[in-house]
Amino acid sequence: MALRVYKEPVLKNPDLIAAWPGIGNIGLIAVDTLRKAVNAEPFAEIEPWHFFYPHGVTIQDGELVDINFPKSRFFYKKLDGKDTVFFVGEEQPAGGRKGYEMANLILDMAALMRCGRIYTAAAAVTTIHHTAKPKVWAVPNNPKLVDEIKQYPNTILMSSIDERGGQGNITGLNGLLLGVAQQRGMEGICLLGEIPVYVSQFLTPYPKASRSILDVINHNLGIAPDLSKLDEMDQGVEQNIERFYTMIPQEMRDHIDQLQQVTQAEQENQDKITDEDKKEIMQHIEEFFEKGGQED
Amino acid sequence: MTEDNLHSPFLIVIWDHEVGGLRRGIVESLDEKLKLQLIEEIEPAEFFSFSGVEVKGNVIQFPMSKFYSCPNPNIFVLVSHAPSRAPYEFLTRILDFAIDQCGVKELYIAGGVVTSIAHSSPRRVFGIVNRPELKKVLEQCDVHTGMDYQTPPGGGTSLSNFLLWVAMTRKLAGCTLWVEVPFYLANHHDPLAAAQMLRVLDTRFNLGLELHQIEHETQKLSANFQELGNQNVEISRYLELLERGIMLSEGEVETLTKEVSHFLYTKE
Repeated sequence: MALRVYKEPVLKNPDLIAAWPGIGNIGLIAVDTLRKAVNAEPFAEIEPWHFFYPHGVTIQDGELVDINFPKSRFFYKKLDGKDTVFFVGEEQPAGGRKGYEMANLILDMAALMRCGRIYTAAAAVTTIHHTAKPKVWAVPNNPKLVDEIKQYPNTILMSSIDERGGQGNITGLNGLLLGVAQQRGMEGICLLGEIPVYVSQFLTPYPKASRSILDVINHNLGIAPDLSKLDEMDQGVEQNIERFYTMIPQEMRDHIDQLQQVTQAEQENQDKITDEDKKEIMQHIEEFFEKGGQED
Repeated sequence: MTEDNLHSPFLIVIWDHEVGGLRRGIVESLDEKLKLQLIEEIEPAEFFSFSGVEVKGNVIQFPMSKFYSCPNPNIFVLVSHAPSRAPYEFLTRILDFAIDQCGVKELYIAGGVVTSIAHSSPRRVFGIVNRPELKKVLEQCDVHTGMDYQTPPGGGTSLSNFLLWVAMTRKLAGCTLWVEVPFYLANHHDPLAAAQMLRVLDTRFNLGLELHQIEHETQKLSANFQELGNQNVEISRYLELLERGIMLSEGEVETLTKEVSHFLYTKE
């Protein structure tokens, strides 16, 4: 279990941004898009065999020449606004202990690079409509960051979400990394891009939420990279979702379309839809998907 | 690596889960000839889940990883269940014992590969090596060694090839040996597959194995298929198609597997 460092870049007070695959691949797409857009260079990786089972082998003329593990790589970029370290994991380790060990290795690298802050990025499954612009839920590991977060664009705190009262769970390493960072005295913020609950069931990427996360990260880093490829991807996914949407029975669509009112009401700060209404809508949607997408 | 190394310690690994009941077929024959002595066990708590036990062949199974030795020839045998957690550490533990305690110089991992051959067809054995010079050794044992393969996305890797790779990182020469098992015998004992694997090991290590028991089982299996074919015209036709090298449809494969399983379970 070790870090493999190819070179040690000298960075000035960088931030570290980490992501893994997850619902809608929202965090991974956001971080991978940004590191590609700024041409970040790989400089280190976590040795995989302690954490993962291999995905495959390459055999040539009867000889085992390679075995393929999920990669967990670090990249860096000296940016005008702020130097940045990216961590991109192709898979999350199974089991809490291995997750904890990986979190510590990532933070070892963050300490080595003298990172001032850790960001993680993931999905927030919620009752919005797919035509709405996803908000970003920001969860800090230090209360002193709350005031700063209130200045972020299109961003809310857990306490702003009616039924949550500032409480909730962040599953997997996106949360664990920041918990371990807190223990090690490092500040961090988890950025969760909203995804409609019914879209989260489609197993489709949701780049629109990745875009919302990147708006926040770019705001903080003071950069404006070209994200046209992400926007193109978003358009393609949007078309697929719309196509699927037309295949859903009308009665179900009527339920889902009520979520448009939820979004509008929240945006206009009105109270057109109650929590009871939301619960009922969600119940219908969940029942629909539990039946494998077949209406009675 | 061949003649000079014949007195060097070798390790033969056989997983309990191998298709065609290979573990039973191979280990029983080796034990009969070599009188295997238990020398070491890997403590299971670290590598296996104890949330319950598996039941196989009507009997409760408990995970085990046992090393056996036989002084002449200088061979060690590991018979083991596959770990349910920490696979890399488990494989490292195996090699720690094999290399550091036993001085093992070559590794042979025996396994089965499910193919669309008929039960009456000769079984081929394919070999994958982690050092090119080992190919010649295997070819002298009638092992096919020219395979090209790239795991397709989402395909996964066998524990055997994972062990072979870990051995490579430890500079231990080794190979995985894959004997063909007809798909409809994957969950049953395939004596022909076990016999063919034993012939390879016999040639490689000059074991002087006697395969009377396994040949008797082969005859019994052949008689069972004869009886099944007489009882069921559809199954007889499927088997005939396979013997002629003609692929079956998905539905035919399912029917054949189900009918063979049902018949053999009543016989076992």
